[in-house]
Amino acid sequence: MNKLLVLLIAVGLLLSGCAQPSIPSAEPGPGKVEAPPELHDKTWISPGKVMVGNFHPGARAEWPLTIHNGKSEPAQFEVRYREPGSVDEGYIKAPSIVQDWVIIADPTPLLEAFETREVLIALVMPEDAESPAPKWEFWIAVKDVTQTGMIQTELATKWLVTMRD
Amino acid sequence: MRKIIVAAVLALMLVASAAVPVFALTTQDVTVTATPSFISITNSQSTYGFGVVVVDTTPTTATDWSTITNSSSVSTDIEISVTTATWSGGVTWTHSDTATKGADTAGLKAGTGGVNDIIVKFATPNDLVSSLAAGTPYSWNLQLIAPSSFTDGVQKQIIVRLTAVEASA
Repeated sequence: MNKLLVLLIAVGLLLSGCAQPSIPSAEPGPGKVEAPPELHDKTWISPGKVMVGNFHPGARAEWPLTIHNGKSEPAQFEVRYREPGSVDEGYIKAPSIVQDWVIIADPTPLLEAFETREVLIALVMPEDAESPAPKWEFWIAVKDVTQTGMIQTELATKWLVTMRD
Repeated sequence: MRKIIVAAVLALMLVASAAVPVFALTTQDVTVTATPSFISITNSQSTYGFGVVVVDTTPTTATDWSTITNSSSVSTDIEISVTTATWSGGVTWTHSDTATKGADTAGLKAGTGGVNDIIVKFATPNDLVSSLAAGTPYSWNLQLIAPSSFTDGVQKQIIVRLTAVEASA
């Protein structure tokens, strides 16, 4: 009988162990991005917008940013957090502290000629952080740093975050 | 003994039932979606020299001197900015975010069709063009607001950056 009790308690402990909460998160959704053939020799990024919903302190959201080098030679890219110049309706510019919540898996990827690569972007809000606003926006900018000259181009993905009520 | 077993089973059921909502919370709470769009632009010109600049002047490029090709799959906003707060070379120039000339202080304006009505700023950049349709080119021009006085005659330089982002909703 005692063995039965021990067994029941052990199973109970195992089940309660399985229930330990991890960081609430949303896993990346899509598979590989297939670009139209006409973009083969153009440098591009995808997606244009990432929408995060029900976000809250302690939560994590991830999405892979796809970068394509449209040049016939290797190119070094810089991937960085950027404050938006303007924002979508209903959103505010994220405060500078949000920069510390963004993790860029590879901020300086070197892409071979016509290579396409994913760089994982994660937004991790600390448990004790205060919500900047109900809706806020920041950008992830991608620049080919092998560009020379006075006029340079940069591409950016918008991250639009809506906090949980 | 039977009471103890019943109590233990009840306790086990409680633990098991308490575990269910925790699983739901961790995996269903945050939602992430993305638009399946591609952002891509190129610009026809990579540099411009204003030549020998005279104080208190506003030299410009030719009308529609440069063309942006928007190869994106969606309409985009093209933001224009400078990447530093100063112009490099010798005694640096301060870049004016109000396009106001001063001693060793210069500004830039941009626009299209020969009109330069958009200030090129370092902080809080402006859109050169908003909601540029996919596949549509956009030609633009650039104007220097030269300083009111110079300390030296060393060539100055600043980088102008065009940033493409999916158009605001």
